[in-house]
Amino acid sequence: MEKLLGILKNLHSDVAWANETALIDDGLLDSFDIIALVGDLNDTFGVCVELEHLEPDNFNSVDAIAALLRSLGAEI
Amino acid sequence: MSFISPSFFIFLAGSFACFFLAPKRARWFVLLAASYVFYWFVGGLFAVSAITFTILTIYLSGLWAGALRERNASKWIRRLPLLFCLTANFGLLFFFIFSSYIVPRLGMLLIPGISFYTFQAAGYLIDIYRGKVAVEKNPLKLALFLSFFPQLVQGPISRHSEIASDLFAGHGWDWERSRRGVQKMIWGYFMKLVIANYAAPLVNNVFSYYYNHGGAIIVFAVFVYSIQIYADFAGGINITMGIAEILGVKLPENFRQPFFANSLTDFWRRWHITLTRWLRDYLFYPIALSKPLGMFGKVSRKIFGNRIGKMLPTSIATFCVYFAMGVWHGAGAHILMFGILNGALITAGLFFEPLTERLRKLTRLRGEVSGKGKMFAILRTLGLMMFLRYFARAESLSHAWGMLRQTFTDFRLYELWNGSLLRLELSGFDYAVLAFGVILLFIRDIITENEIDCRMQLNKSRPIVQFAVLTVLLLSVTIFGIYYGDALSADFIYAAH
Repeated sequence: MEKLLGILKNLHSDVAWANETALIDDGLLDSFDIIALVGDLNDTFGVCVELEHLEPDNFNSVDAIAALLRSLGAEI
Repeated sequence: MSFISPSFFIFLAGSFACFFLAPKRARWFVLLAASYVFYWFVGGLFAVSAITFTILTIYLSGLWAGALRERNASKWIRRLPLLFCLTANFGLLFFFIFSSYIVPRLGMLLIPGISFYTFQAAGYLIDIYRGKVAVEKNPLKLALFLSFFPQLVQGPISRHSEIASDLFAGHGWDWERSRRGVQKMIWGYFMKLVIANYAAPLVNNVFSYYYNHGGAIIVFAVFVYSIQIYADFAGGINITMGIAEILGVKLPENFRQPFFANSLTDFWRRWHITLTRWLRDYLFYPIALSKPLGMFGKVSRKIFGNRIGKMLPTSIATFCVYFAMGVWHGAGAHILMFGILNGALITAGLFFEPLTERLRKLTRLRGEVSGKGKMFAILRTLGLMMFLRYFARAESLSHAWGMLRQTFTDFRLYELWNGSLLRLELSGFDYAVLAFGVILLFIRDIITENEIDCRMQLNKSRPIVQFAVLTVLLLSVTIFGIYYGDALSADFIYAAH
């Protein structure tokens, strides 16, 4: 989880990532962020986040992102 | 038959009567029949044939794509229906957009709304491929989804999952829903007839004969054009959404106070939202997450370092999106330049982010969320959008460069107060009506930006207030828009797409 929070902090240092539950719906993560985030997640956790995973529900909170990573076989 | 023609109101009254009097199960079919009648009047046999071709190809490809998905066919096999169908339909769209270049003898062939329904159709098919939507087995229901008359000629570009259940539910008459729908329509007509139509003569004059004017008047005209295009397009969308609401169909929002955008990317999140999200979901993500671009990203990271290396693939995808956005808006070098410059500015914004962050700290303009910093960001975005609009509206690329040259080399500020403005086909009375309309629009947008639903507030207020507001809007539309205005001659700008 620490690694994931580190990646997110690196993306935007001014967001309280752990508390947010509507990252996509509130516009805190835009499409540019998503592309950067997917690249980092793939590299760090050795997974392959693909187009079909780009659903708002998968990126609205840190827990949702962690759940997506777990479903792709990452240890988090 | 445009939304502002008398025949449209006769058609609309007839359609509402048939829809609500029909048995619940047959209502969607009434809508389909009404949509085809409407499209026949708008575009004739040629346009009806073109949309029927799209409906048939999308229907058959949808069945095929659905069957391949159920059979768990390989990715490449599952892409075949998309390849055939999208090539045919986008080929047709490009042919019509560029017809005057491809076969000069034919000139510009126009099929109203082809850009909108082709994108909507392509989105539906791609969603089937991705397994996000179920295949529509009834071809007539698919035909209604693609030809629903209120949104046929100028969008919004809806998703099947958003509107299908409403379209086929056959909702009965509902007073509250109808009241809200009519209010939305009245506001749409106000935007179109009292703002956009009053701005049009000035904009047409200055953009056609820019060489007669100094830079100050050109900048003023570009600003007025920014308001005109917003009032025209969003006005039309409001009418569309109002009609759909009366019929019980909730369409997606297409505008969200674009003049309050604090960056170009934010602007495109507020302007023509359904096109932007289409380009994001079906073009930007697939390109940015494609394997070749992923590999390119890895190589570029090794060469240029982490930050730039990561940004390059995103920039390429961004550039493709805005290039496509330019092409979507029409043929012509100036329109392509509009798209290219959009892409270039947004990409440059990504690269220079650390620099702007440092500047922000230096100038103590704290971020773009409130106070002076936000105001600065809004004005900077307005300036950038106005610069881009030189290209979007100019009659050719050379006109756009000419207008920019005039702006920077021969400003003539005094023309703003020496009476020159009154020689631009608008009288003092016309300016007063336009100013009145723009002030109301500004007030409405401020209220909505603060997340207050204007219609809900109005409907909760005392009856006398409701009566006064609607009377002012209706009288403005009737007196300024229809009696004094030129209601019938100016069609919607985006209806030509």
